Amino acid sequence: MKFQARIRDHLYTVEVNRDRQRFTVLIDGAPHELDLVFSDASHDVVLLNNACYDVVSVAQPGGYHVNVFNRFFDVEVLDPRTRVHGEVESAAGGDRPVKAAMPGRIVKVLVADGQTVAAGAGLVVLEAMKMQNELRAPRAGRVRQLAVCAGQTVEAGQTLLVVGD
Amino acid sequence: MTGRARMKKVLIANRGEIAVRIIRACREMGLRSVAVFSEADRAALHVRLADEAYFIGPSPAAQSYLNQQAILDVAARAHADAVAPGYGFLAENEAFAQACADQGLLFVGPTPRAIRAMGDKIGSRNLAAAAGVPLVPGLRERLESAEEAVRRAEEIGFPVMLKASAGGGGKGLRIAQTPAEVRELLPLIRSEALASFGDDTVYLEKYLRHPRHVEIQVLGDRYGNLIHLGDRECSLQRRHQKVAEEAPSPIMTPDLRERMGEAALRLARAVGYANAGTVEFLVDADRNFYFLEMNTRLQVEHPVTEMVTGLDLVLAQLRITAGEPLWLRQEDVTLTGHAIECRIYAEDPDNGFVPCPGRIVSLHEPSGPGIRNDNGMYEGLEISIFYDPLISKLVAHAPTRTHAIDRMLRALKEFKIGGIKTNIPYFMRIFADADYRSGAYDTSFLDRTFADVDLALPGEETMEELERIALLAAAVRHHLESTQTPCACPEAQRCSPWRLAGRRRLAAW
Repeated sequence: MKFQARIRDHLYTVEVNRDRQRFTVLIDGAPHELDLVFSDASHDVVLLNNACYDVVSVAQPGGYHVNVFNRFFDVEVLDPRTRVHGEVESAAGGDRPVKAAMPGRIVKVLVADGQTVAAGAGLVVLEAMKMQNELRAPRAGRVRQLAVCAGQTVEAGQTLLVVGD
Repeated sequence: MTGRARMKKVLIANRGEIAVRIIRACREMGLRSVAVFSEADRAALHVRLADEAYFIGPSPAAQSYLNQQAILDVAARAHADAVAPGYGFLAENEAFAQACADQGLLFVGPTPRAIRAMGDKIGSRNLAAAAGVPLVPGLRERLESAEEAVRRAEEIGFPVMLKASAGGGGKGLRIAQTPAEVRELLPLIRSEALASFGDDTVYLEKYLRHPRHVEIQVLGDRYGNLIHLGDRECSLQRRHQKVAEEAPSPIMTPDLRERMGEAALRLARAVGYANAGTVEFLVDADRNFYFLEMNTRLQVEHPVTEMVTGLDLVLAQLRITAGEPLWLRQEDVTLTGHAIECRIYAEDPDNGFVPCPGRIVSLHEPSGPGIRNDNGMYEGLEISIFYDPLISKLVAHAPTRTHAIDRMLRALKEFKIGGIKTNIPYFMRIFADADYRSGAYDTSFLDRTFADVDLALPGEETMEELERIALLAAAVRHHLESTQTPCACPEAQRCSPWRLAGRRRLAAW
C-alpha cells in the first residue's frame, strides 16, 4: 500500500509491502527491510538491519505519536484510501472546548472571537508551574466563547474558549 | 506493653512512589498498611498495594493529602496505631505531628518540637551555631530595613543571598550582587514570602560561588542514641531542584565525612532528634562545609544511602517509631560501592520541562544487576496533573562510581515508558557528560551547561536516524491497522477485547 506521511515539515511518500512478518518499506523510493518481531495494542518491536527498535506508537488524530528510545515524534499519515485516525472525530464536528490543564496565568491570546483557525493552530499561551505552554486548536473551525484575556489567572479545567463550526 | 507490640497498623499519609515504598516496609515488618487517596488517585498503585484504602477528598492536595482532619479521621476509623508521612505534604508539619500525638497516634518521624526547631531557618541557624556547626557567614536575624541589609551585605561581602526564613526547596531566595539589588529585591522577596509561606521574615547570608550540596543522613532512636549513615551528593540540580543524587559524594574523604558526620550529630543531639533526618551542607572548593538546613523527614534520595549502607531506612523508621532502641553503633555502619539515583519525571525535556501528564500505555522497567526502581506507576495508569510528576526513582548501585554511571545509562536505555514524555533523554545526556563523569560538578552545573543542550546522544543514533525509525514504525502500524480483517464472528460470540487482541497478534505474525 502507498500513502504519504509527514514528520515536522517533511512530507514523505511511503510504500509498504508485507510478506508475513517481514515488511519492505520504501521511503521516497529508498527500501528498508523490517522484521516485526512483536506487536500489540500500541507497542511494536522491529528489527532493521538486525538492530532492534522497541517503539510505542499511540494513535492520535491524523496519525501517531511515536516513542523511540524515549524520544518522541509526531507522524502524520495522509492516506485517502483508508480511514485515517481522527477523521471520524473531525467529521463529527461539534463544539470542542479548550481547557486549562492546570491552574495558571494567560500570557497571550493569539486569536480573536469568531476567527477561523486550522486544526493545531496556536490559540492561547498559558503559564503554569513557571512554564509557558501553547494551547492548540483541537479541530479546524471558528473560535467562540473566548472567555479569557492576557494576564488573567485560570483554574484547572476552566474552559478558555470553544472551537466550533 | 512495648511500642512494637502496640504498633500493628500504619496509615500512610502520602501517595505515589513513597507511599508504595512505605507499604512495602510495613509488609516486611508484618504491619498492616492503610492508604489514603484523592479522587485523582483512585487507581493509584499505593491504593492497590495497601491492605486497606480510604478515600479522603477531591484531587487538589489542599483538599486531600493536606487535609489533616480527613487523614486523622481515617486513622481513627481504621484503628491505625501510627502515621507515616513520607516526604512533602504533611511530613514537616509540626501541627500535624502534634495532632497525631494528641490523638494517641505514633508519628513516624521526629517530635513536633524538633520539627519546629528545624523548620525555622533563623532558629535552626542559631541552634547550629550554638552546637558548633559551621555556618555560611551572614546575619542570623530578621532584616528590618533595606539600609540594614545593605550595611550587613557590605560587611560580609557581595554577592549575598536574601532568603525567606520560612522558604525551602529552592523557593524564596534571591541573589544580590550590589547594594542597589539588595534594595530592589528585599521588598520583593518579602512580599513573595508573605504570599507563599505566610511569613515575611527575610535574612541574608554570603552567596558561595559554585558550592556543592552534600548532606549527611542521621538516624536516632527515642532514647538519645544517634548515628550517621554517611553522605549524599545532591549538587545535580535544575533551578535549585535536585534531579539526581549519589552516595558517596565524589569529593568525599574519610576525614571530611567524619567531620561532617560529627557536626550533623552535634546538631541532631542539640534538638533531641529521633528517627531519620538529614543535615544539608554547602561545601566550597576548599572543602569547607557550612550548615544549610536540616530536613526532619525521610528524603526523596534515601535509596542511595540504603544501597551503600545495606540498611532499610523506612524499616528503621518504623522500628524506631515502635520504640526499639537503635540496633547499630556508628562503627557498624560501612559503605560499600557507589549508588546513583535519578528522579524520572513525566515532563518534556525538549520543551522547557513542562509537565506531561497522560496515560502510560506501555511500560518496560529496567532490571538486572544493581538496579532498583522505586515507582508508583503501572501500565494503564493515568499520570494526573494535580501532583508532582515524579513517576520513578531509578537507582543504580555498583562497586565503583564509573560502573554505577554506566549501569545507570544501561538501565535508562532499557526503560521504556510509552504514552508520556519523560526526562530520561536528559539523564542519558548528563551521564554521558565528561564533567559529570569526572565528578567535577556543583549546584550550578546543570543550569550553566545543560540549559539549552541538544539531547541527542553522542555515539548513539542521531535524531535523524530516530526520526527515520519513527517513520518506519508508523508506516508498519498504519499498514497493520488499515488491513485488519473486520470481525466476522457470529452475533452470539461478538468479539471481546481479548479476542480482538489475539486476532491483532495473529495478524502481526
